Amino acid sequence: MAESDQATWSRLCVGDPDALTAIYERYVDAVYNFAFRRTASWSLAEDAVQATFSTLWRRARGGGLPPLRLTSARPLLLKMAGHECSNLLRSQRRRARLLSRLRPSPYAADHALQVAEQLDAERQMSEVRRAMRHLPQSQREAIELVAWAELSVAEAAEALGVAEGTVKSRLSRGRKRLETLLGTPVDEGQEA
Amino acid sequence: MNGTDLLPPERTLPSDRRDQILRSVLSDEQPIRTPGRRVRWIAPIAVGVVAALVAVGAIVLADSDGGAPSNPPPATHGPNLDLGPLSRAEIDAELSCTGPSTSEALEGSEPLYARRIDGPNGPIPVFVMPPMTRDQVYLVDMGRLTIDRVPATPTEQRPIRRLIVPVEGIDLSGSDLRWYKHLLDPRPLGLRVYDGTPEYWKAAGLYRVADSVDRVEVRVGSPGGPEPWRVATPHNGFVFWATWIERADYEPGTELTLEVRAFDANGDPIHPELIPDRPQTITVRGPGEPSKSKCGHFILMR
Repeated sequence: MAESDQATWSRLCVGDPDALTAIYERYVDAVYNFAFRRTASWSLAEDAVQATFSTLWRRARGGGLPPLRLTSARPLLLKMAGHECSNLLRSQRRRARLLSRLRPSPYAADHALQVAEQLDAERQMSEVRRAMRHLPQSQREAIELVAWAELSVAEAAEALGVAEGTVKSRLSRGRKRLETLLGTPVDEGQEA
Repeated sequence: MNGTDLLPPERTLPSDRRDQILRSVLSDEQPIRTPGRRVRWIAPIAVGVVAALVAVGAIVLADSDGGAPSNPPPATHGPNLDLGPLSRAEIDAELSCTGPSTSEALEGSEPLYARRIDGPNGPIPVFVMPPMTRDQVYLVDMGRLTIDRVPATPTEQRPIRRLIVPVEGIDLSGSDLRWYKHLLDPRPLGLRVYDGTPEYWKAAGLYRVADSVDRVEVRVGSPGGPEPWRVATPHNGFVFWATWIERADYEPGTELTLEVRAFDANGDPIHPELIPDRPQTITVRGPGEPSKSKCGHFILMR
């Protein structure tokens, strides 16, 4: 029987590398997909995975991890991943602006060594992200965590540091707005 | 319909990449804290961000008041940019230029990288300092300071990571954000600075590299042809590179090229796709602005 997240987390809090490995194996794909949906880039998502677990491990070794108040570590990891995604996206925007000041490099075409499937997924995700930009950040976060990452409202509330009712109202308003923008219904995900 | 129907299908992280990341995370030996100080930089807004200080020159097209020298210097300063380690006294002397707050905040901190790097006007000090707490990151008006974050730990798959010079504020608040914006310089590859040399053009950058990276080489090309490759050697996972043209007697609009390459310990080239700086053309814009500072120029990273 697998050890509970809380037990593993307790070991992680004292810098146990086996605990980090266990948490990593359990949630690396959840963080990876969450990061992709936030960044619309599989490459950035990989960077976000590394940054998230690096941060987690540094905090663990430094004795700075908070106790796990929920039964699952996933909400806290996704919250951390969200911060890392924001950092990565800011860096990417800066780099893009800097590059836009330079003339196109004759070598630039060499960048595009991506498979079509990956590009399609990123293009699709970019379209969704474009629609999401019309929503306030609070509503975006609620949709990302509850509708997409399938956290419960309680878990999302914990991750966002707000009341469950606040998550529900943000989710409801965001869902309606997104439905209008995309012409597609968006369920509210788990309510438990 | 579930909300995820809008989204591309989920993927699993490829197993080789999954293992690489885990190994990289577990082997991350970055300092956790500066001894004797509270570590508030791990607050959520600054999670994973490392503060560091680098003395660095970047893109320079200096003031041309001095005119072209009658006897141009040689085309190159020798092949290796690394001229040896910096002493603590040299680091402290540079830090003192940043004012008492920063100097005091970094007192006793051991640099992650501290080398004397060849430059067009003689050696320049380059150093990277370990994390500072948020409230210790305070600078006087150097005019040429900026902030950056140390990139993620290099891996064998991505052995070279560039420190990106930002052009906008990060998630800081209040006074931190104010001075952060004040320090920005929206130039590619670094900062536009003036350090007293009247006639040269320079590009520079700082990489964080994996152990497999043996050296980085860089050269600049002008209408007269490319300069020799200059060699930068990593120390403690960092490598600072710089290249320049001794006589920047080019008219605004002249196009210069910049090339960066890297090699492993066997002398094999690292694939160009893995090098952050790709060959690029930079257009000479005109004379630079003299800095009011008498000190070197710094990049503050956090």
